[in-house]
Amino acid sequence: MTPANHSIRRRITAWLLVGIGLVLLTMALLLKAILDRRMQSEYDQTLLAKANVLATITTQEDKGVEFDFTDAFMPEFEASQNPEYFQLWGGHDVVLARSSSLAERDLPRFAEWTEGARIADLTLPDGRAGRRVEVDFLPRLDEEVTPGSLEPERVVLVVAREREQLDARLWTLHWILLGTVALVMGLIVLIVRIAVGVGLRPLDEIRTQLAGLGADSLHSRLRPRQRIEELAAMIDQFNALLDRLEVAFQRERQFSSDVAHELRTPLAELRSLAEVGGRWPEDKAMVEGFFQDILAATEQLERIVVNLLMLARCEEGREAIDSAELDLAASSASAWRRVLGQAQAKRLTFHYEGPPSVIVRSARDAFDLILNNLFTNAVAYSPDGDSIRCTVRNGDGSLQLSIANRAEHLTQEDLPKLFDRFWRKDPARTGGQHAGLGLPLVKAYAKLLGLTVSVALEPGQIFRITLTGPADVVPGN
Amino acid sequence: MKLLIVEDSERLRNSLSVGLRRSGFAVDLAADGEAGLRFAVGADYDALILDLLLPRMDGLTLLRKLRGQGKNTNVLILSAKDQVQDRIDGLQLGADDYLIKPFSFDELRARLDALIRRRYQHRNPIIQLGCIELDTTLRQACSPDGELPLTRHEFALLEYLARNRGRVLTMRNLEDHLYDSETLVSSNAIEVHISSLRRKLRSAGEDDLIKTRRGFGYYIDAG
Repeated sequence: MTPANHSIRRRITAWLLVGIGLVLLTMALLLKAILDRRMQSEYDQTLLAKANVLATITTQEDKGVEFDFTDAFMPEFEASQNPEYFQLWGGHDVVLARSSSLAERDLPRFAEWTEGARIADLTLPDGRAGRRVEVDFLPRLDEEVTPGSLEPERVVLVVAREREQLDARLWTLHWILLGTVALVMGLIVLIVRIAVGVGLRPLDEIRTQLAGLGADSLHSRLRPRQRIEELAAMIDQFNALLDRLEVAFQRERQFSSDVAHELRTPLAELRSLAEVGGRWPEDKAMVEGFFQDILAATEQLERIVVNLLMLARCEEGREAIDSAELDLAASSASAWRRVLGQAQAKRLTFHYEGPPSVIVRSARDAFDLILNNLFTNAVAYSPDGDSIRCTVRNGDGSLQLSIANRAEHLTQEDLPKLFDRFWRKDPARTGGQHAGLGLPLVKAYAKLLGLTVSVALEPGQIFRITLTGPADVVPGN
Repeated sequence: MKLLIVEDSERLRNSLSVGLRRSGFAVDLAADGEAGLRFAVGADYDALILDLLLPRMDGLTLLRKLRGQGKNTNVLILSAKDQVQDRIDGLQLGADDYLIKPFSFDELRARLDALIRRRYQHRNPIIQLGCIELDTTLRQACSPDGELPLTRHEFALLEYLARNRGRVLTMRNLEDHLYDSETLVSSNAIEVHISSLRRKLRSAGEDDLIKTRRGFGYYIDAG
């Protein structure tokens, strides 16, 4: 099952919108609650003020409670359209007064008595939604009443008026609030999209550049127009990876090309020699010469194949290594003797520097192969009449063997490629004696023996290859 | 027909030169790019067999320089480089053909024949000269009475004259195309070959095929 694609753009957008939306919603709800409360409170205060006015015209006289009210005083209590209501009760729930708007009807009262004003919703006698305030108070004593002469009678006043105007205003306010939230949210969506787009533009640019990368464009690098702090390290790492990949690709290409040349050329020679020789067999001298060439080409192919097989065995760790005591000084001398013929032809001299005998435990065959390759190379690439130096140092718990010779055409840039399979300084790869497998073999065998190989180009074009390992060299396996 | 082989493998160079000479070509050899360019610029070859990985100057550079100097010699690249891009590079730089090593000698010859035919604008490998039929692939000359017993040089001479019908070819020109550059040619070698060739053609019924323009050279009528 293909995993779903996740999008940073969608994720940031969603989180921002949800976050901002929640904040906006909370603020809107809070604002609504405050406004509702404030408007309701103002409405109730108006109602209460009206009740207080009515309370002030209620007096205690000797003959009882006097409610000095006329409709002209507060005409809203008698209006035929949208009237307001009040009702006054005395002791024993005797109705003392009603507004004209009530006629014979009663306003509801709270079931339990409590001191002070109480406010609640109700359905008005004309069926509209309303709000009532109930106040329980002792009427003020009339001026003619002698203080202390009578006990004031507790009265209850209920004043009610419609609340539909309040509800309509609240409803309008709610819609304005909702509309504002929606508008702000729309603007925020727009701003977030633009902001995320601008913020992620460098990523889009990188994505476009990445899409253009392929095996044929490994020379390309990520080059954003602006250096973005958060991406800089990643881009640098990626470009460094591309550098390494390009080098690896080039090496791989070079390797394929070199293999093709090393194998195809002797094969082409063999085929051409066989076909031409077979076409004109009557020319005995020519055919005999061709046989010599066929033998030489076959030997060249054999060397390549044998070396490749040895390399493969080494790299897979399948090369058998038997540990035994060997004398490095003697082994070096022996390896030199094997190339003495070629060395004498070039008038090369050999110098050994080190103890007369250096006994180590290692694999004799592998060490011999390493030394043979090193001396063969040294002889092949030294200028005529020069000298080759072999130095052995054994002390401080480590062993060092180095071979140095002058290499006129070698450069510092060549050193990292020396251990690449089939690498040769001569791009034409002319001649079949050296296929470029000697040093890779040296490195592979040295690794098996627990040795490290290093190369250096010293002043005077002296090429030095050094094997380093523990004093008592033992095989890796 | 004269070829130049620029190849650094001595064994391949040797076997190719033997095989191609025995096939009737005059062959010059160069072991590196610089020598190859010198040869290619200095003489008129019917085809050039060019390796790419060469000492001193690689094959592609040689090809670029050759074309840069206005030489239109047919070039067949013979290389171990087998990648498509290698072939594209070679052909785009002006090579006429590309053959990957290892190769069949017969295929190489067939491709060289095709290149030479293209050079002389002959699509047909068989050239008709009166009653004589010249098969440039089998390198045979036949009359209605049968095959003419031509030597390698006589056939090459007749083929070169036939491919250049209507054009007077000087002695120097004929020597250049019939012999390797390193061969010492006697002063009357071409005249001897012409004389022998005329005799054999006459016996086949073609009395006056090869004409002489005194003081200039030899030619076959355009027909």
